[in-house]
Amino acid sequence: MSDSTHTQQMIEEASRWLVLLRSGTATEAQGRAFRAWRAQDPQHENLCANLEKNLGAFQVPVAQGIGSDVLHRTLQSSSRRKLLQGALVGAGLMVGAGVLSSRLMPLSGLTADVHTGTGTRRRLLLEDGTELFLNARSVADLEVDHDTRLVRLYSGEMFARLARNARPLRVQTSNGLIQAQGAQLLVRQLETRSQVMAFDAPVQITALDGGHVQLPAGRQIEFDRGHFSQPRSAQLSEAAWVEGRLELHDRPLSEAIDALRPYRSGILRLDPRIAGLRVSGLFNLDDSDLVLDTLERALPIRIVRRTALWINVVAA
Amino acid sequence: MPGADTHNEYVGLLFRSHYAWLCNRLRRHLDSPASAEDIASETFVQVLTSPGVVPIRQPRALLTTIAKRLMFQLWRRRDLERAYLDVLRNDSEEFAPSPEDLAQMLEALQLIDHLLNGLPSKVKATFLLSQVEGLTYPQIAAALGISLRSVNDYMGKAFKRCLQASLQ
Repeated sequence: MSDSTHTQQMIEEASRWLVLLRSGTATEAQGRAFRAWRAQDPQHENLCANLEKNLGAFQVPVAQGIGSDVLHRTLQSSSRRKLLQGALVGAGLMVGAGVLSSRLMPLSGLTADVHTGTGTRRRLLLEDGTELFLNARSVADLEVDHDTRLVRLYSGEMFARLARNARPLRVQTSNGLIQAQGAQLLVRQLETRSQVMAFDAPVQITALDGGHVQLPAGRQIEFDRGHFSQPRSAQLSEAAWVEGRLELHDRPLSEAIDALRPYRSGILRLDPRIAGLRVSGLFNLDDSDLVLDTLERALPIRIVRRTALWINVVAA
Repeated sequence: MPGADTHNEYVGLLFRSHYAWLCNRLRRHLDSPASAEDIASETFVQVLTSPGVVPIRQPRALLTTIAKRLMFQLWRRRDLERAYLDVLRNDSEEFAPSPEDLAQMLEALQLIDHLLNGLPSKVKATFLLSQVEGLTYPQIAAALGISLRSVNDYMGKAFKRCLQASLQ
């Protein structure tokens, strides 16, 4: 048995004992049996002693007459704050949608070239209620008629929310073809690869070289013309840009900076040495200067504005 | 123990060559010079008390990593403090804890936050009712409007998380 499985088994056993003993219905014999388990191995004893010491923290509110409800609300509101740390909620957040051209374009029976400039998003509504969103600095080509729902994504990022009973949607990237039916999905055209996220229904992917993958709901994958990466989990927060937000939960700084790039003209350079710093927060994409300032306050980094169009993000 | 002496000397050398630099660097991120110095000092204490860190090829990188972790802990502590005082104020305008009680409570909150980190809200509520109010499982089930089975399940999750955090 490896060390870590031994540890996990010990935790499993200890927690079963503790759940029983805290229930209020444990018998004296069960109490004795637990003490015997604890004494049988110095590691058990050690773990239980450490736990007891830590659980002492719960006696502080008892001694001060502070109820569990106050503690619970404190932990909850501060963990929301953790997520929102440096966030820009409030008035500014929602303004973006109005200021930018998130224009509604009813489409039926047409082929359209759609592109978005720096800092603008587009929302397209198909006649069956399917919504397509194009992130900033993206280029796509739509072929939509009674039978066909084809998006050719040349660059950038799109999110689709298929209406119930909508016809299947196909998305062509430079690496292959993605087919979805009745789902939310996100497709990114990266430099040489494509990235696909399936949120609530599986998605079929066929690479240019013929390889085929069914991506299950809640997973994301990257692929080039022949090779697929290992799927990993996908969160709907990746599509928060649809509402002008950037939502990160413990992600590398490089991801935050990459998400800002389509919202800024000019050069935004990130020192590779700090690219891996972890970031959490909810940010307003439509005020990328403020996002940078917020990041600077939250992380050991410095934003060096060489000119309005040339920004270096460096270690502090 | 000649090893310990070398270690102390080495950390002393690190301190002389990098303390001012580290303070300077931290000052940019902290609102008061005093907290920058606190964190810088605590960083060296941690290096001093962690055996086997000599010789460090890039001491500034290590110091930065430790200082960063301490800084996050400080911010987390401030978040908890703000949240706690907000909740108290919300419940009663008059009640204000004494500085000693508050300091003790913040220590406890930080540890509790660490022990229960990442658990869903209901699991936290269940565990707090058991640990702080001393309720039995049927009482908790009634208070939260959940099944007895869920209470058992949540207590198990919470204990596992706490045990995990209690591994040395």
